[in-house]
Amino acid sequence: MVPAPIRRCTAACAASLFLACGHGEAFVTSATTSGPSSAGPDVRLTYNAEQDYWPTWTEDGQGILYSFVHPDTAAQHRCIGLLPKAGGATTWQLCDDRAIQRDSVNSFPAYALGNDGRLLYVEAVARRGVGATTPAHTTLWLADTATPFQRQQLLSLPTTVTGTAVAWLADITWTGPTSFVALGQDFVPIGHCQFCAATDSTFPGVIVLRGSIVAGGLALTTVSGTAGASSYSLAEGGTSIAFTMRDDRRLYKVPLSGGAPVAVATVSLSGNAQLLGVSCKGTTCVVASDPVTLTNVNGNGIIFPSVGTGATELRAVSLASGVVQVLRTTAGIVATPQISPITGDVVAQVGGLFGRLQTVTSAASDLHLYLGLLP
Amino acid sequence: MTRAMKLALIASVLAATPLLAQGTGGLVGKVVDASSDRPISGVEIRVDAGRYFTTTDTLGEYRLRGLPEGFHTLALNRPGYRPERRDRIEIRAGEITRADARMGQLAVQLAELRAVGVKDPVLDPLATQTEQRITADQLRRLPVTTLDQAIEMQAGVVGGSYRGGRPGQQAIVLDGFGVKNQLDASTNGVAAIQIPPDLITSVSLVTNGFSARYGQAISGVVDVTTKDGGDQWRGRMAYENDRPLSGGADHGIDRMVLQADGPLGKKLKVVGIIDLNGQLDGDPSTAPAPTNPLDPRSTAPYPLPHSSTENWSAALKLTMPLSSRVVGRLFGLATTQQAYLYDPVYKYDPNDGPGSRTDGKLFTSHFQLLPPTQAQAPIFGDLRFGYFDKQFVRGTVDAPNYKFGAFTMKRLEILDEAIAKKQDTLATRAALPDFGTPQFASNTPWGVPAFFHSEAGSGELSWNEFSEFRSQLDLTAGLGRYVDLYFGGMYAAQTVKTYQRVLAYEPVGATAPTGGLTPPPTASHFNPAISGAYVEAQARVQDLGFTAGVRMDGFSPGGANAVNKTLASHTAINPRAAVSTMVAGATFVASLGKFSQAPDLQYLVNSAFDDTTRTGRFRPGNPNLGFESAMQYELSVRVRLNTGNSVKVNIYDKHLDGLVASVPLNVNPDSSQFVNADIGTVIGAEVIFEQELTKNWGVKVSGVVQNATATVSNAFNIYNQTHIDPNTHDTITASRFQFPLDYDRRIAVTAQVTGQIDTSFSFKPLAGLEVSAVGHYWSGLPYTRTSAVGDTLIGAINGSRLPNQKSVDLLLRRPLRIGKFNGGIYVDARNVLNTANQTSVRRDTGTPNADSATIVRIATAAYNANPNPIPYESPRYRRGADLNGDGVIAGSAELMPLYTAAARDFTWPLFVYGPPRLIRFGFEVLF
Repeated sequence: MVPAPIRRCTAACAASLFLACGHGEAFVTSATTSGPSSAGPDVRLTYNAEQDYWPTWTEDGQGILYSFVHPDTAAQHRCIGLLPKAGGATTWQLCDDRAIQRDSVNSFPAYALGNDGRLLYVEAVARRGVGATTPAHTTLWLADTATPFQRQQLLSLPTTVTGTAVAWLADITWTGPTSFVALGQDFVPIGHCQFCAATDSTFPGVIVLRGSIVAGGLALTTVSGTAGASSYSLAEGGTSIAFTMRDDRRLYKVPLSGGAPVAVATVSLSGNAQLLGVSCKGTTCVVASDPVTLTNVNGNGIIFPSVGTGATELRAVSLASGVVQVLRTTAGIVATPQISPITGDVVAQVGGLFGRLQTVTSAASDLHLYLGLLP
Repeated sequence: MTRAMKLALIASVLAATPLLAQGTGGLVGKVVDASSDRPISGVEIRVDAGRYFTTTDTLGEYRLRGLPEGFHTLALNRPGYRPERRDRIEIRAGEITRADARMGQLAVQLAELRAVGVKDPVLDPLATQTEQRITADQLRRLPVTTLDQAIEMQAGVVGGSYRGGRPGQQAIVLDGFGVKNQLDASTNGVAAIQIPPDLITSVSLVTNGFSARYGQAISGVVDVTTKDGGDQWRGRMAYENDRPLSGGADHGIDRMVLQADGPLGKKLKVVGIIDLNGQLDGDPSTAPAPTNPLDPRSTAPYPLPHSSTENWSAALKLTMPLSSRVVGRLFGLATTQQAYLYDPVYKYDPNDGPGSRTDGKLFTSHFQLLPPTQAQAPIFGDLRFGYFDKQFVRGTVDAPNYKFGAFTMKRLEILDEAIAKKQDTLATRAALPDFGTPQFASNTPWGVPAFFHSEAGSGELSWNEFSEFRSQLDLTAGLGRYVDLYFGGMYAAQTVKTYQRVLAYEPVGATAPTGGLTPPPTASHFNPAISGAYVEAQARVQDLGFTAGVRMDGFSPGGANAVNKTLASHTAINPRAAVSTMVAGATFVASLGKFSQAPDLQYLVNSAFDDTTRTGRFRPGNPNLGFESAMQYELSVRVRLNTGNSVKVNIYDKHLDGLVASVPLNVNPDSSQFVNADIGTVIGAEVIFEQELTKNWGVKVSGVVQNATATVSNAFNIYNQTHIDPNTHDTITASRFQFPLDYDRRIAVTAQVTGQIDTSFSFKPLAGLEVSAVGHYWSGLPYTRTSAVGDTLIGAINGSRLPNQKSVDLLLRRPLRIGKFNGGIYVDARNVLNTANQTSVRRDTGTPNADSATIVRIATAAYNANPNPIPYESPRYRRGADLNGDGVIAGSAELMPLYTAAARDFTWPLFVYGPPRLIRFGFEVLF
């Protein structure tokens, strides 16, 4: 929606008997374009008291897609927002609160916006109410941002891709007009704190997937060598994939077509810190390292993260040399860094969540933009 | 002859009805010897060079019937007498013109012999109808652009209400053919089809005991006569707009008219017209600008989004003599009226809004049997067949894409109109997939999620179709010199289809956002019929005239009731009579009449509403509704004070009965049912003074004093007289006390001045300028005060009154010669003084604006419904409201000012005020 100011009939207009004045248009007010914290190299993008998380850049680098819990919807839907590249008011939102979905909680965990408005997104629909946190439907859709609910179903989850069970998708990235890469995950809704009011979901990484949209629907394959990836990024001009793994301080790389993983670098972390996301541009990657401890609390094999002690850092890792460099040190949780495709800016989620590892209903997080973090 | 005079002559010729017009009247007279005043028998009376012919009887009297409306020549011949001739005798449809003559013997020289004297139509005692007539020439000279506006200027007419009755109680007759919208005349206009003004020859408004020939009305008849093609090609082309104005004076008005008529071959005459008009600011208002500088209307109070109108009309009429006594006519008219409807809820939605479209089609065939030229007891009349179809649809539409002015050049697409036409009430119990749930707009100046919606309509989808095939026979038999007998009948087979769905984004039974449950869709398809037969006689003895007739009306609702029994038909016998005479130079007419009309067919079918306050969400129809009726008594006096002026006084007493009202069956408003329950009384007096054109200037002043009461104001109001005992749940019916009716306008005064500046006026730009000014004064209409939440009455029903209203309209026309053509330029200005007339007020405050307590109450309610903080990245974030600058607008201190401003914006009294000054410029070419 493009804000349009009200046009008055000008003198030139009045001089002509045959031109219509534009005074039939709706009143539109522009949203605020400058934020209260926009000064300085680190810009806080969101102030939502609920969760804002999992940012990703649009293909053209002009916007930042992210998930957020909509404060105005009683159902606590998780929606997609689109922020301008430098921050400001969201310019587009997708929130499925249609009447037919009123009995559901809807979540959009993965999304990618192409240059021409092609929108890939995953929608998970769960029945509202206690004990109904497992999505009844999880679907990968192809649509246009202008008409997001006039859509083509590409995939229904869970599914099996070349023998690997995949229940969830994350971090979709367009690699061409009809091709994309995504992270396949498992989905585990069981809470580690069964008597807590909060509802948790954990997302154990499974494998990186490549998708191709064909006439009949979708062709999915796994990228060999990426099994167990907890986050990934296209790297080296899209020819390779860099990825992290849970409880592993190394950054790995495989060709886009798959192969044996190569540990590019080892990030020196204190305590039980984890790598909570990677993003690469060319041969330079940014990883987030956080003081997170993974624990099998219930002894049921489900590993839950918890915040430990230690520094939170954004580090640069060279795929060419393996050199690791601290870019920013801060407190709390910083996760899922994403490098702008057109600048050296990096967007990341700060606070509350554990990147791609887990979401917790009541844990607030926001997005921050680190201007010029990379040259 | 000056150019202006030539133009005036051309205009008068254009205004005159050509030969063979379908409206007919009579010509009577007495011929006496100029020297002895004795009657002359055997005088040959020839009208239009013998086309109509008769002779005087032994009393010297003659009578010609069935003369076409318009101007005619009259010639008198008798051997031994000097032939006499009069060129311009006007015959009016439905009236009898009297032309007496004194003939001089050839041997006698009388220097100043008045050969032919036309009887004064003002004083003619045979004119028993209280009729107000507007001719095409007057339509052209007055500041009016539609038929409704012209009628609204007549005494006793207020917003579609005739003499205090409800809207829709009148009939509309087009060329003798009834075209009433019987489906929803009371709420959606009485005419089944829009009639282009340039097609009209004359309009008559009859409000007293109208002829038994007319049915389907209890408060009046609007009789419209259209043009026939002339013997030579001629026409008018005009374009008008207000584009040269700027700012608030430019309302985006455009109107284009092309009308032409003439012969095709030797016999066939044709009239064609195309009339296109549009208005970007379709419902302008004089409401003051909001005071909050953030409100977009504070600096530009005039433009309203989604508020434009677009009307297209095209008509073609063919006239051809089929024999020496039979004339055939074929007439086709197609119209489309579409509107984007301003609703404050969607004022900030650039994409969607409410809209409506009405499509009308009319086809008629008319066979006119002309009277024989010499018969003393002729029979003549009209046989008509016709079909009209009216489709109406209202719902959600996309924002208009204007191509030129307010013209989109395409039919308005109503969301899911095709679904509505299928009338499938089972399939549409689910939420309609194309309808989105209303979202609170985020692009308002206030940001907060309240009051204003975006990206979705209200969920309303309403469609209906009303069609009628009508046959009608009207005959006139002359019974000697003094009696005319009128008789005939009609039968109309109707088809009604309706569909309504509200809150279409919700499944039926779901809890509606505004409370209550979403009602089921409603639909109907049935075939009612109406019929009528009448006989009426008009007799004259000297200056005493009698008219007496009786009409039988029939109404069959068609279909079956809930237990599959055929619904009962209804009949009504309606006698009507009038007597008139001249006493002391004044004409007195006393009339009485009983009238009946079938109810609006919309009340026979189930309806769904989105209104929880007064009407409930679902209203079961009542297919057993019967006639609404009225009895009216009237005494009229007509007198001339001096030559050229006249005064008419009409005193009337009208009793309405059986009008449709909503009667609750229990305390649940959803349980109410339409029944024939309302009664009403209208007592009033009309005074009309007219100074006919003298030296090119004329004046007409009409005043009305009236008292109109009823038990309810319209069919959707709960019948006030029924009460439910809260303890026993018994129904208590009190005496039928009447309250002032919504249209109880106590005093109304209209003054018209028309004229033309002399063509010899020294300041040439003004020489020949035609001037017409119309002033109105109306006392305020009544309304009912209620509490702020609307559930408690404050004072009596309709116990308060709106402020008085007034306006002045002006039309200036300067005739010009444009190349080979005559033409002119004109300025049409309405409400010249830009008076801010209050047409309504808030029922709780009695003022246009909501009071502070109301603003705070609704703002607080909205805040409590959505108290969530607004973060910086939200489109709702407004920096000025973030008092502590923490990037979040949170808490009452920061949010409530926004909600309060939004509430004030939402309740801003826009349509409480009438239209502002409207000026349009036009030019026309006559050819």
